[in-house]
Amino acid sequence: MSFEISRQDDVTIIEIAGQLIVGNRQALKDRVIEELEDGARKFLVDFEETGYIDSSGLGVLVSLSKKIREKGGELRLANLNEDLRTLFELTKLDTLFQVADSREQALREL
Amino acid sequence: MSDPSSDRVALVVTGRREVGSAVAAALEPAGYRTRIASRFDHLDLHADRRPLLVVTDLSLRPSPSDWSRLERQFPDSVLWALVDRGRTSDESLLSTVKQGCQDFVVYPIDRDELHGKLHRLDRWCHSGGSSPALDPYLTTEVRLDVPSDASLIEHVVRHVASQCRDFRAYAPRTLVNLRIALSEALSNAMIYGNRQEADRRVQIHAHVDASQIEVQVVDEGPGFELEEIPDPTRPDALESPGGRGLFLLHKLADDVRFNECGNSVTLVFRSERDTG
Repeated sequence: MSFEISRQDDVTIIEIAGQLIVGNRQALKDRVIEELEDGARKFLVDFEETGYIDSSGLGVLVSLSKKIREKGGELRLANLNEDLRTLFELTKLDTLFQVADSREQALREL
Repeated sequence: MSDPSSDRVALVVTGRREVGSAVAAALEPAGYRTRIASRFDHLDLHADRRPLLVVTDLSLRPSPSDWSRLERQFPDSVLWALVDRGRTSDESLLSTVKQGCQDFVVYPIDRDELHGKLHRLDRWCHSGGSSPALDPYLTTEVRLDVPSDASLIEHVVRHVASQCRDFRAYAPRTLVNLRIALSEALSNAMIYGNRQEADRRVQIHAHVDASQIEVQVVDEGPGFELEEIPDPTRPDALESPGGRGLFLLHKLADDVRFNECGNSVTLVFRSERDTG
């Protein structure tokens, strides 16, 4: 997995390429928390190039969303492919996260 | 879960978002669903979808090893290159043909021209293409013995999934389920079973044929008592960062079997063709 962090206006965009699993979730978590501590409050995770996520990857997203909310921020997810969508539905995490069809839609809503 | 394999899938390898979106929009009326990869890493994830067409943007300057990776990952796909109108030299086009590209998409896209090419591609696919005739007679075994190093998980999953991809009997969704579930089983074995002690080993044995994929993961830990799996989708559990691993194994695999002491798990994925 590799991830890229960029900014568009006041939104921090995290693009995850590859898979988000137990072996690499910590790097993502640390990086997002760093951004949060530096004052970022609006986050968008773009899954356009994400292959799959395991339970610990889901766990990281859940705990980040909680941390961001605690700081008064907001996290949105965009571009979930059909496999990821199924995974979020299976675990009912689609009810916990704000999921947008595209990055543009998520940016409009943030 | 529905099987989307009847749809045509195209993969566009480009670092330019706007180009990826333009190609996807132009391919859509011809019945293609497009996936986009911005680099040559992680191509194997898209290979599970068995794209009919793989379009590589020459502005990424693919090296000969990138081209051979494309050929290796997509042995049954048609490779095209994407070139910018007026910006690509004859020499670079010629070298692309030598690397196995059959045709070009010119950007900005002329839709009539593109659809003409897609029409010829259709005719070509109907006239030939590879045959899954040997599938029923093929068996693949994979045996791996690895230390408890979580950074190896993605490599093990990639290796096992690539062996299964050779069988046409498995829908892309089954391969994704396999990847997630195997990744879960391996992390359980390394982290909970072997307590991340690197010298404790994890053994993986996969047996794949046209009817089912069976993968056994064995760790050197004491095992665990399998009680009832708590439901992580309960409202009060939804915000918990953990507790989804075993639940996902049972949701994603067709069958999950633990041995008596709990240090060995066997995951079974059946071919959709077999179960009708």
